[in-house]
Amino acid sequence: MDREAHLLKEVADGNEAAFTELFKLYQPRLVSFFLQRTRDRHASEELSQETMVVVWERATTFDENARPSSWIFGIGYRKYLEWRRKSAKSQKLFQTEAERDVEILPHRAGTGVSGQLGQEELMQQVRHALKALTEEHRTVMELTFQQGLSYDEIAQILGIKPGTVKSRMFYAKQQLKEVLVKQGMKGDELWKISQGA
Amino acid sequence: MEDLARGMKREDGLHQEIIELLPWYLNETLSPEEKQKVTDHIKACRACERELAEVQGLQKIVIAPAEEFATEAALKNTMQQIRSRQKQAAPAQREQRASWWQRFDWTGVLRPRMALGVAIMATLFIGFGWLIGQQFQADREVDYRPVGDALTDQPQVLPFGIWLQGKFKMDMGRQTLSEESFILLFNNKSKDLLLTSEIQAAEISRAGKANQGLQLTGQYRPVGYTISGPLVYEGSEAKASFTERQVIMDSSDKSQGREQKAPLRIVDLNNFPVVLDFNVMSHYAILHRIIVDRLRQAIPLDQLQFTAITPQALKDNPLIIKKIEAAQLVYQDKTIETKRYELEMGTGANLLRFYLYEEATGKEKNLIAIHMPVQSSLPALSDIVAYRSDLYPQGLELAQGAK
Repeated sequence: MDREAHLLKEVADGNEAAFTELFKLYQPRLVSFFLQRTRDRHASEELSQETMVVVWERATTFDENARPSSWIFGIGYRKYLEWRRKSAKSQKLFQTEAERDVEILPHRAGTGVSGQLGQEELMQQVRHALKALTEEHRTVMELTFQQGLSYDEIAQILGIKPGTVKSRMFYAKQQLKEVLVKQGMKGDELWKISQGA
Repeated sequence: MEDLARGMKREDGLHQEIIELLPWYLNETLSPEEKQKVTDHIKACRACERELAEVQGLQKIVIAPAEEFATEAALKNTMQQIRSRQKQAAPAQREQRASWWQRFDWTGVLRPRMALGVAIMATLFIGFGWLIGQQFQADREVDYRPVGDALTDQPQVLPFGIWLQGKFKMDMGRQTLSEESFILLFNNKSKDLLLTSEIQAAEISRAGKANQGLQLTGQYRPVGYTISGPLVYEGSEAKASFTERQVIMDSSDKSQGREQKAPLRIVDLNNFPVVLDFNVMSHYAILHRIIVDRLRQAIPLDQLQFTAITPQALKDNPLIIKKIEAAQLVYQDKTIETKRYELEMGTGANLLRFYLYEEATGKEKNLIAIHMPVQSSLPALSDIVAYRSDLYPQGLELAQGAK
């Protein structure tokens, strides 16, 4: 049994010290996960605490063979969905691409905007373009890169098939490149960023 | 030549498999076998090496700088919440409640005009969020129990699981008719299915948002159907309920401030009924699932006959599969291999022919496009093509000759 699963078992027995350790491991990760979704720091901190309350209360139902991260993030994800339901933001469901909060840069035909940008600016531009992706796509990216979860774990959290997780990631990257091209860039910015150029 | 073609196809499949694994190769969560496979492939494949570099770029972008959080204060706060909840916890058992289907207030939720004021829209497109909320509020005993890795693909993680969700966009020629976000939920306890969706109708005469909900048994037999909004034929809301032999439809117009009810309409059913509302693209997704399931049960094609119901006009028509063949679609100049089902419904002057395009990705078979060619039974002057806009945001096109 790994350390986190052991901690959860202790939490199930009412061990507060184990809960404290688990809390310190997960709360920052949860806040960062919620912050990406809600863009509201206060709401994110509250959601992380609510999630950990459920972890405390439901630890007895944790299956030792499962992964603690997918169990905890699964609870967190459902807490987030509840929050989204209540939030006024959920009324903006049918935003079209043009309505999304993305500033479309003027197209400079032939020049390729990215050729003129420094690394930091380039990263900022691409981060900005990320906002044009659907939330489903961004969630898979964040759970993978920010939270370091496997595709199986992500599938369990989101309640979808592992194959869907992989295809969402694939299409998310494709779509990001398309958005970059629409913004007058060349579409090779991810490669440039990886090269540190 | 055939060997070469087969070899190339295998090679393409391997590339795709490797490319899809790269994000998790980078975050080091692949199994040792998968990791080895990716490592070996990248060594010999320049294209995948470049893909890996792009994914590394993506990783750099997505990883946000670490922030300091006031963990101690948050912990203290959380412990206070836990203690206060422990004090409040009532020992009394909650009464047994009706199934969530029965508790689902269809009429209230699906009323269109009210939606503007009371954020009902949220309940449909992210319907499962709402339902989860309801389920958790109403039934505190619902568990967060994980089911272990072996069952990751199964929908048993929650009392209900998401079977299918996505978005369809329907175009007629260059004009967009509507866009629909749908979700299909499976109830693990009752084994029932619930399809809900929100449709943004774009035509000038019917612009606006419509909501629909279709309740089915686990064998895809319809139990109830509700639609409200601008797509409803002669009214603003329509409800259908099903018995073994009949469908009963109730429709009304509530748009003028007072409710005007249309007389009940009852139609006899002769075969396994399939609700098929031409405005609701997700209905084709259900139809596609039924067909795939039936074919999996080795039911011969000529015995696969359904009764299709068009709820707005409430007509029942025989629906048959004429042909299944390989076909191609085009996405941004790239060819996509699909399986195409040719279906026919109705007879004589009312005959309607349409095509469903299925894409197989691994074990999953998804309906990715629906095509209705120009024909005498349809008023459309251009072909109607609906496609999964969440998977193919730039739009799928029919391959040359498919029209």
